[in-house]
This record gives sequence, structure tokens and C-alpha cells, in this order.
Amino acid sequence: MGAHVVVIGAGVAGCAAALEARKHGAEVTLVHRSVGATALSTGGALLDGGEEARGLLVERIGLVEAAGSYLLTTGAVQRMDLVMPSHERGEISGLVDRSVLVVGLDGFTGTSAPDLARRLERRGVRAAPARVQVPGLRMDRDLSAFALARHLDDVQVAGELAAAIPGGGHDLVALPPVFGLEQWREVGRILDETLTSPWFELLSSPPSVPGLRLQQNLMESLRIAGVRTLKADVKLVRLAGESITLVRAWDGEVAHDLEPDEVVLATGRFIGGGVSLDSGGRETLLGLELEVGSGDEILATGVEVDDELRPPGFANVRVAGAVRRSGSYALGQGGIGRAAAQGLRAGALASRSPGAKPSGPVRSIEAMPRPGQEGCLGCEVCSSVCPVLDRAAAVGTWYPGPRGLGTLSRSGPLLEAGGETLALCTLCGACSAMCPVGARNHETVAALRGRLLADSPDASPEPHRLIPEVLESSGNVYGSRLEPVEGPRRSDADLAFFPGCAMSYFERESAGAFVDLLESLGISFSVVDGVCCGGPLDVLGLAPSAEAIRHNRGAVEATGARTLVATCPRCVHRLSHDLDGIQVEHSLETLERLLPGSDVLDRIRENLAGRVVTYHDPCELGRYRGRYDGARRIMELVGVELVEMEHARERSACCGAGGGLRGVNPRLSREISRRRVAEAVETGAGALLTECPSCLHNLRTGRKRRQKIEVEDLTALLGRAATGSLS
Amino acid sequence: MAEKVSDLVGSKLGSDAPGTTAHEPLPGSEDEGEVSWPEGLAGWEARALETRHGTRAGQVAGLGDLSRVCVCETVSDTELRFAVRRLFARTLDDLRRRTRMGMGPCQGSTCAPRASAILADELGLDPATADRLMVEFIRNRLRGRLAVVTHGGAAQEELIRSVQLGLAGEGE
Repeated sequence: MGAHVVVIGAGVAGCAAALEARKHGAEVTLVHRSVGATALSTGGALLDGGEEARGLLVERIGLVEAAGSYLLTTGAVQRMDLVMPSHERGEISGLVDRSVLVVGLDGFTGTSAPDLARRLERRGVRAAPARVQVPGLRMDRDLSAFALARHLDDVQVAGELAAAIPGGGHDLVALPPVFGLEQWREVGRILDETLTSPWFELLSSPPSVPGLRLQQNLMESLRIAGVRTLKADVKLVRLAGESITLVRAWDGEVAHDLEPDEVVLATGRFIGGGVSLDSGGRETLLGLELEVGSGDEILATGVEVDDELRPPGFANVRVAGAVRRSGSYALGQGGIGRAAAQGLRAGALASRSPGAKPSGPVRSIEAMPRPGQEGCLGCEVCSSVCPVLDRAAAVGTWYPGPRGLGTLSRSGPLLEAGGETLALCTLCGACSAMCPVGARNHETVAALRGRLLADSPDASPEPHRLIPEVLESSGNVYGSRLEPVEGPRRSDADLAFFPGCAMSYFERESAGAFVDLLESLGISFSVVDGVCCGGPLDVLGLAPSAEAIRHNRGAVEATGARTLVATCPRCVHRLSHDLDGIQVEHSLETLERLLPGSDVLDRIRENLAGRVVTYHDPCELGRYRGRYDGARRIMELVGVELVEMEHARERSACCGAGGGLRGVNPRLSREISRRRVAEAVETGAGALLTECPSCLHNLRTGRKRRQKIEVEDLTALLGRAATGSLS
Repeated sequence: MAEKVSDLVGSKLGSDAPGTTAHEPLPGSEDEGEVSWPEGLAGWEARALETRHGTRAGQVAGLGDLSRVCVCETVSDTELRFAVRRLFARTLDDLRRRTRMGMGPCQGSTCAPRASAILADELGLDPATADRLMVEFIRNRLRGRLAVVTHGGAAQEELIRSVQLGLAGEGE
């Protein structure tokens, strides 16, 4: 086997290095903690200082050679060597003396069609503006480019929009760059079929939809090449002498120890977080001290390297991209082409067969932490994954996206008036997982809600005001009397089952099936008669009362069990925090412990044979805790065939139930779940499984009657298979 | 004290007219009764208008297009037009002083092109003049920023500059 190359950073430099090292036979792991900074580009590239990367960018990354000048949505013109295919026809010299229809979209202020048409006229293009309404939206203002692009990922909507664009009489149609975020190839085909003239998309300044598409292409090329990617934050490296022998990356829950022969440092400059100026100039991972220039030169601060791209004092590290001192794309020097070329060279050097085993004194270097919320760049990448922003316009609700919500923390008076909007966040954490500076947006939102509730309770939305009172008076979040879940009550159990509010209220059948499953496993267990774990308070940044904790501790101790299981990830999170000395696990963890080798397994397998399912990762299990594999291992064990949805695992999309949205805006919550169910239906699976009562309930709400897919908890399905009561 | 000073100044200037500043409401402080907000305006957008325009906020909101131009500071199209028509704004810096437009983290990189288009529309400026006003504005915002770049502002500056490469007149 070749060398093990660990590449740190998923921008174009890191990806180029990984692809090149792979090509030379290395085993490659690419570690990245957020979206690569190439996502924050125009999606076009200059090759200044990076001619060697032309082949890679064209053949493997999907850019096209179309050197020239392009009109941006801002009205400016930028020179590009390579662009994404949808821009190719927009090269300005090719438009002279031709007639172009410039399309603006109602409610999308990112493009002013009349202004752009005037600017094209000045360059000798015969341009005319047109305005078109986007189908399926009930909002006529503040549409974000990302929300629009995701709306148009629905090819049917894109087709309707295309059909509404006036046809005939024009040589070309110029569109704003929002025609699909993930399905843009398919959307492009629809445009080809529907429009009567050839079309192109304008370029856009970052943050741009084409930039994100380019980043997707990079990740896709890694997958095709067989590069292992790991979404985790490198916290520490260990060295023997001058060589890195261990890279420790933290994925939020688990530390991954990688043992590299060579490391490629492609962590970017300030945006990527590879360089910090906060305590003099410093490279943030290895702690290299950097010289800081004056004036604009400050922006070129970076690592100096030797002829073989090594930083001083490190034998097996190669440096590529913006983390290196080599101009600044912010000053118009280099950029994607140069970073890619440096990546190629770093990858080739790193893939050479490993030399002698490193030796010398052992030491560790801890990485500098990221700035977090305070460091918000306003890059809007968070908007591209926000499930609320995605659907708010469809139900006519104004929503400014995660970054917009963050601005409330800067102003007391605005926060006081923003409670209603703040209450719409589902706390799914997708934005935080994407954030280049490591902002924990969803935690900030919860904290702001808590601050508002404490400082001006009257300005908090009613459901938020009521949660603490209702919990106090009824012991559950619904404020009604909950019938206890049926099942054994004993004082000598090995395992205690905590059903939680949502399961006892909405999903009693699932609770029953889980009890059946535990019974069929032949273990000694008891249902816990507790009160709400206090999880609903998390959405307000508050903690449960001491009384509630005491009650639940007593209820668990009454079963005699030292291990507690819940199917609700929120309960697991809360209880494991509050009940010291009791082992709290999620139902999937319990099953992974008990199911293999159990007597009932054969029966379950037999009854489930031939079933095709898809699986929805609950945010609070996945993104909150990094638990993705357990469910998949169980599904494999019981022999069901899993077809993944487009958004699975780390990229899982929210079901719409989180953050208390269902209580505040049920319509929006349902709209989000509809989108998720539609994605599940696309897979052709017979059942949409999950393992969270809130997700389960909301996905059931989002399923339309004509959609044949079953929505179930994984453990409930197993329970029914164990007792032979499958539908 | 203000009253005594103005009386004193008045007497020095030989005027004995009674001072009215204590009774005369300033624009935006008049009692306009209950404000009727346009449908669909979020509470925080209304509050942003109130903090800047007082009791005239409802009047501003009712003027037209409520789309946000400056996302960082919640400034809408209609507020900028109000500032041109009623508050005599003639440059982007005027607009900034009257509305806070461009004073948020992105320092005008998103809103400057759109604000200059609005200014051009209201005042009948040609695109070249509008671009010149925008570039002037962007340059003014830059002054003073470099000094804080080494205190947590570097990433922001890097992004702002990258975006501004794509603003009319800057990238060419």
C-alpha cells in the first residue's frame, strides 16, 4: 500500500492535493471541519499563477474553458479563465450585437434586470429586461438566492418558472444564478427543453450559488477517486522529532486518531481559519509564527515554505493554498487556480513512499480554537442549508436565515421585537455544521430566546412563555394528563425504559412496540413513570427544575436498574446530563448491545426479509451527537435493504419538529416535513424509518394520504417483526 | 439648562421671542396616533424603523417596497427612498448616516450596489455616476477598518475584499 496522506482542509487546494496523492497511489484521508472556502467563491476561476491546474479543474472538477469577461449580478464585469458550464454563453464579447433578455425574479432583489440591461446596452449588447414570478411561493420580498435555488431544485417548479419566461425574439436569455443548488444539472436540462432561446446564468459575487455548486463538484470528485473524507475538527497533532505521527480530529462526539505518513496543510487563510492575527500572526494548527506586513500586505499573511512546500521545522508537512504566503485573492491575486496548482504539487510530494520511521522527542501541539459566533463573517453559507429559510417563503412567513437571526444578539431593542421570528428556528444545527468560523448558531438562538424570556417575558411568543409553566403544572409538555405507557413495572429490572412526553402522547403504539421488542429479547426491564425530562426547555436555553430531576431520579431508582433507555434523543441528551451515576443510552445503542446473537433475531430477520427502507437521521442524534452508524448497523443486522435519501447522515435535513416550531408555526413545520417525506418517497422505499418520537410524529404529519410510504420508528418496526404483528 | 442657554443666546442676539424647543416636537416625535403597519412586516423590521424614524416609522413603511437592502442593519428599499425624498440624502454616505445602511459587519459589500441603484433611480443618475458614488462609499468604509483587522477582523476583511472585487467599477 502507498503512503497514508492526511489532507486538512476541503477547499480547492486540499481537494487537489487529495486527488493528486490518490492518483500517485496514496491512501488519502481528507479532514474538514466545515464547508471548504471554495464555496465562498463566484464559482469561476482565474488561472493566474496556476496554469498547471487547468487540466484538473476542467477534466475532474467540471469547470469549462471560456476565458473572457462576465457580467455579475451586481452590474460589475469580472475576468475569468474557467467558469461553471451554466455561465459559458454569458461571455460578454460573444454577446455584442446580439439580443439578450435579462430575467429578474419577483421578490429577489439580488438581480435588478433593468439595471443590468442598461449596463449590457453600454457594452453594445441589445438587452431588454423581463420580470417573472416564482411559482409556489407566498412571499414577494427578501427571497434569498439559496432559498430560491433550493426551491428550484424541484424540477417541476423550475419547469413552471421556465415556461413563464417570455419566449421568442431574443438570441439569448440571461438568468440570475439561482437555478438549482443540488439539482442544477437536471434543472439545466429542463431550461434547455423549455426555453425557446439558449440561456446562461449571470455570475454572482460571493456568497453565490455557483460557488457552492463548485464545492459540491470538488467533494464529488473526491468520492469518485476513493478519497476518504472525515468531517471533523483537528484539535491536536503529535510529533516524533520533526514528523507528525498522529492527527487527532474531533467530530463532536468521537475523537478520530489518524496516523499519517505525510500531512497536507490546506486550511485556508482567515476565512478558512488557517491563519489568525489575534495574537500576532499565527498559523492555527501547528502554531507557526508568521510575519505580518503592513497596510494591505496584512491580508497576505501566511506560512513560508521551502522548495518542497515544507514549513520550517516540519519534515512531513506540505502546505498549499491560502494558508501559504503567496498573495491574497482578496486583493485580486491568484485564487482558485493558484490554490489548485499548489495543491497538486503538495499532493504529489506527499504521496512519495514513506521514508524511515520518524524518531526523535515526542511532543504534541494543540490547535487554536475557532472564533465561534463572534467571528461571524456574514458569508451566508448557513442560508444554503437552513430548512426554515428553505420553506418559509412557501408559506408566506418572513424569515431572515441563521445569519440574520444572529444579528439580533447585537441589539436589545431589535431582540425585544424579534421573539416571533426567533421562535421559528428548529435548532437542527445544519447551519452550525457548515459554519466556517465554527459559530454554534443553534445554541445562540436558544440562548437569545432564554435572554428574551428572562428580560422581557411579554415580548416572548406565547408558547415559549407557557413551556416552563406547563411543565411545572402537568409534568409534561402538552399540559394534559398522559396515560402511562403499558408495560412491566418492577423493582429488580436490569434496564429501565423512559418513554418521554412525545411517545406517551402521540406515539403510544410505537412505545408499545418497543416494549414488545424488549420483552421478546427476554431481558428484565421496567417502564419508568417519570415526568418530562426538561428537554423542551433546551429550546429556550433553560435547564429543568431540581424538582423534576429529583422526581425522575427517584422513578428510575425505583426500577432497580442502573441503565436507562429512551427512544427520544432529546430525553437521552437531557437525562444523561442530569442523572449522574445512571447509564443513559438511546434505544439504538441498547439494541446494538442486545440484538446480536439474541434468540429473536432470526424471527425478526425472517419477518423483515425483502423490505426496502430509507432512514431519517434525527438531528439530535446525528448532528448533535455524531451517531449515524448505529441505525445502519442494526438495519444491516436485521436484513432490511437501506436506500439512502439525498440528504443523509451529516447532511440530513430537519423534519420540521425541532426547536419548538410545531407549537409556534404548525403550518411551516408541516411544510418542512413534507419536503422531507417527498425526499423519502423519491428513494422508492416502502418505509421511512427514524428513531425519535418527535421526528416520527412530524414526518407522519407531513405524509400525504396518497403517498404510500410507511413512517415508523426503527425499533417499533423491529418490535412488530418480533411479535409477528407487521402490517 | 438648554433652555437657559438658548434664552441667554437669544438675549445676546437681541431677541426676546419665547423659546419653543421644549414644546415643539422634532420630526418623528409628533403624536401620530396608532401606527398601522403593512401586513407581513416582522416585528423586528418595524422596531428597526421605529428606532430610526420614531413616529414617522409607519409612514416610511407604507411608502413602498419593504425588501431589505442592507441585511446587516435591516434597512429596506422604502426606507432608503424615504431618506432621499424627505431627508435630503444625495450620496451613499448620506444614506448611511440616516439609516445605518452599510454599517454592519459586511460594510456595504452586499447593499452598496443596490443602494446606489436606488439612489440613481430616485435622482435620475446615470450608471457611471452611480458607480462612482458607490466606489467612493466603499473606499470611505475601508478607512479605519485596517486598524482593527488584527483584532478579530481579518476573516471579515478578507471576505469583504473578495466580494468587492465583484462590485461595479472596482473589479474593472
